[in-house]
Amino acid sequence: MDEKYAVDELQFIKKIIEDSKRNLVYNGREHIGWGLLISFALIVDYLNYFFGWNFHFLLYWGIVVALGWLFSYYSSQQRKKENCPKTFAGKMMGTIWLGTGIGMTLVGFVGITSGAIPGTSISALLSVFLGSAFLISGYLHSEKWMKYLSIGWWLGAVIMFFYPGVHTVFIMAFMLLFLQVLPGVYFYKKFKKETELQ
Amino acid sequence: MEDRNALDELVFIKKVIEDSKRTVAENGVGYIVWGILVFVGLLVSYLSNIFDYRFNSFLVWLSLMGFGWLTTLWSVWKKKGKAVKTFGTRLLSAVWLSAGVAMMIIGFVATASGMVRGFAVSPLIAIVLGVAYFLSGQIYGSTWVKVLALGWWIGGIAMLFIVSITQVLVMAFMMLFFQVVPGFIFYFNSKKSVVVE
Repeated sequence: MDEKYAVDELQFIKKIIEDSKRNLVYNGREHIGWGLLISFALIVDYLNYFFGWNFHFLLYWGIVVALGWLFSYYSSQQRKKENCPKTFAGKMMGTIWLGTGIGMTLVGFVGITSGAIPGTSISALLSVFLGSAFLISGYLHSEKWMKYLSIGWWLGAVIMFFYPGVHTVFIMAFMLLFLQVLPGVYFYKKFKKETELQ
Repeated sequence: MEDRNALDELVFIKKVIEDSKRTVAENGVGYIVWGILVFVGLLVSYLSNIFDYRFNSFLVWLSLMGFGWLTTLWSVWKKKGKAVKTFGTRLLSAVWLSAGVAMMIIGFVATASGMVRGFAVSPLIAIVLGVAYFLSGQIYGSTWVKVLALGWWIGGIAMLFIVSITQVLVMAFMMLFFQVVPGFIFYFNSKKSVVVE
C-alpha cells in the first residue's frame, strides 16, 4: 500500500517538475512561416492595389490567414511527433501566440467588416498586438533582445498611425522580415545546434 | 522503517512544490484599482454625453490613467524585495505591462493620429484585455479566468457593431463584471488562504 502511495507521489512530483520546467525548446518554425506568409501576402496586396486587380479583400486575407492557421496546426502535430517535452514554458508559448492570433483575427476581420476600423489602420493595430506578444515572449525565452523587439513593433505602429498610406504595406512587410522572420531564423539555428549536441 | 522515511520525504517534497505554486497567487488589488478607474472614466464620458456637459475628456482620461500607473508603480516599489519573484509572477507582470502599453497606444496615440475613431477604442481595448486574461488564465492555471477572456472577446465583437453612446455604457459594465468582480474574487481568495496559513 505504501509502495503504491509512493509511486503516486513520485508521479505527481514528476508531473509538476516537468510542467514547471523553464527551458523552452523552440525551433522558430512558426515565426518564419507566419512572417514569410504575411510578408508575401502584403506584397501581393500592394500589387493588387497598384495594378487594380480588384481582389476581394476579406476573401483574400481569409485564405491567407486560414493557410497560416493550417500551418500552425501542422506544426503542432509535428511537435507531437518529435516528442518535444510538454513544459509550462512550451504551453505558455502556444497560449501567447494563440491568444494574440485570436485578437489579431478579430481586429482584422470583424473590425473591418463592422466598419468600425478602417483598413488603412490595420497594419498599425496588428503591430501593437505583435509588440505585446514579443515582449511576453522575451520574458518566456529569457532573451533581452527579444523584449527590445517589442519597442520596434510599437514604434513602427506609431509611425504607421501618423503616416498612413499604401506604403505602410511595405513598412509592415519589412518589420515582419526583420522583427519576426530573422528572430525565427535565430531560434531555428539555436534549435539545430542544441539537437546536434544531443 | 527506511521505506517509511522515504515516504515522509516524498510527502515533504510534494508539500514544498504545492506551496511554491501559491507564489503566483493574486491579491486582485491591481484588477480592482484599474477596473474602478476605467469604470469611472467611462461613466463620466457617458453622463457628460447624456447631459451634454462639455469637458476635456482627454485630460480626464490622462489623469485617471496617470493615477493608475502611479498606483501600480507605488505597489511595485512597495513589494520590492519582499515578494518572491517566480517565473510565473514575472510572466504575469509582462502580460499586464504589454497589455497596458498596447491599450495606451490605442487609446492615446491611435486616436490622436485620427486613424482610430472614438467608437473603435472600447472594442479594441476589450480585445486586448481578452488576450491578457487568456494568458493570465494559463499562468494561474485557472479555467474561469480564461472564460473571462471569452467574455471580453464576445463583448469586443458586439461593441464593434454598436456605434452609439450605449457602447460606453456596455464597456463600463464589462469593466465592472469582467475586471472589478474577478478582482474581488482574487482578493477574498487571497485573504482566505492567508487565514488558512
